Amino acid sequence: MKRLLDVALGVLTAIGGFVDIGDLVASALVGARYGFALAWVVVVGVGGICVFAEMAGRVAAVSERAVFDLVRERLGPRVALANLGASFFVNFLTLAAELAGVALALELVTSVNYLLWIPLVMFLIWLVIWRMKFETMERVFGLAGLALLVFAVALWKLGPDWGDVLHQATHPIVPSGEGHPTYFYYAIALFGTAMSPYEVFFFSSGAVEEKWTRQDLVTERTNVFIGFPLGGLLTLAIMGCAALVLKPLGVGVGHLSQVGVPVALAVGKIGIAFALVGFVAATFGAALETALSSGYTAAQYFGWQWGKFVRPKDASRFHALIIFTLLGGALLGLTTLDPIKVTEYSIVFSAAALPLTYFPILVIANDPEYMGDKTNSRWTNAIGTVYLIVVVIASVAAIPLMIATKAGL
Amino acid sequence: MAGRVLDAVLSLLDRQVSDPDGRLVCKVDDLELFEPTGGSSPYVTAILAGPAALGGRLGGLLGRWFVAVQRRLHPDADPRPARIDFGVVQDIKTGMTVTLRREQLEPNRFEAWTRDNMIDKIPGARHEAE
Repeated sequence: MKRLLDVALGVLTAIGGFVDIGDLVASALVGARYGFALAWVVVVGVGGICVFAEMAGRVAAVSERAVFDLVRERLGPRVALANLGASFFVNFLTLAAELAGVALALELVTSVNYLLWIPLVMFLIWLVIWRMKFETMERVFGLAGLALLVFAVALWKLGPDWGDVLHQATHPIVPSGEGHPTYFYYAIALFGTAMSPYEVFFFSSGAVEEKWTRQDLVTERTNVFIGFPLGGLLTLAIMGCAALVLKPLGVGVGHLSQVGVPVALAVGKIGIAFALVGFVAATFGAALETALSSGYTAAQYFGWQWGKFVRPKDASRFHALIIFTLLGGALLGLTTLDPIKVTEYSIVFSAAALPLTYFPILVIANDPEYMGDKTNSRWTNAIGTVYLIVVVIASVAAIPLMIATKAGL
Repeated sequence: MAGRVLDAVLSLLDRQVSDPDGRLVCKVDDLELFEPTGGSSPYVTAILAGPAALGGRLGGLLGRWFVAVQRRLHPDADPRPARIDFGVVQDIKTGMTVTLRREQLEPNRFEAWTRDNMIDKIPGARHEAE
């Protein structure tokens, strides 16, 4: 049990990255539209985030420096400030969407309009950040998010012909009537989801919050190699359920309530209960992750005291910034802006800023001044470089594709 | 710290400064150099921190804006960037440790202001998380 709880940081990070409100809907949307033809992107994305989160976590454990410290040190104040601007903007949009997302999930449970839930959700998020120990936070919300595994159960109960599924996933074809640009737009969106920068901000800062040292590198790797593949598995399960149930019916997905339909069919009432708990926990976890990340990135850029391991009084600018970001996010959520659209746009914008975050991680993970004898192996560097090239291609293509396809219409 | 030769841009600038209790103080936003007469090489005399120091390095409109905001909010008529004498630097690794505690260094007014006017007034601010 102790071992299981030790991976909570990785699990919470991955759940916040892979199955937040936008991705819950986007995964189902992609499954309903493309079947299994985009499943390979999730696998590629999991590989990428594993490589870079492992590096970022290792740097944090060995040198006590979280990702935005590295960004500022290696890119200098100007480029790092540009990255901070972009990352903060994306974080803020995602946070606004997650606040609305928790509220939408609560609306599904209570039938009370989600707009009424947003202020309460915002207050609860703040209370957790203000009072709850980091360790308790990651355990409660990471493990509760695992209720989404009910989608994997549903997929298994739906009993597809696995050979056929594997064939569709490994021989992807763009369905007739769909254009290639749109297919690649969704490919980049899924890849961007898997590699969203707030995951490495949160994971590396979490490693410092948990006071990991070089003795904890095994725990660090276990977190990465269990957490992120689990996040990918949840995405694939949601996508697969939609592909098996919604695609044959020709249903397009645009709302959270539709995501759970296959679970209701396959597992019944108890399944829906698990799915709802999972929706609330995953979106709540993502809101915590993005709210904290906005504080982490700015504090690490400017050199402020940050973290939940000190009293709020001793990290006042960090806490003040989080409070204002939360208030702003709630106000944006209250404008009835569609949270699903917001996250989809923010993912594509974040894809454009990805290289500025991942490049410094790769450089510092090779710097013996930081890492001593724990620098990257030749293999890690080879894989990291290949992924960095993929990230650059995705970041260049992201915004033109978004404009050309009218964001996947 | 006499006599160690480091590449100031690579090894000093933009690094984190911490106090002996491990609390974070500031970034090395800029360095104060002393150039001795007679052609011997310059050496670092102080760490400069805060928007006034960062603004100078950022340059451009945004940099000028950083400096202007600091000027406007600062009580002195012609404020200079916060300064930490390089003599108190104890250790240079991936960040810098200084021998003085955070309270003994030039006060960080923005941190103090947010603490006194906002954060300290919220219940629970003085307790560790549970």
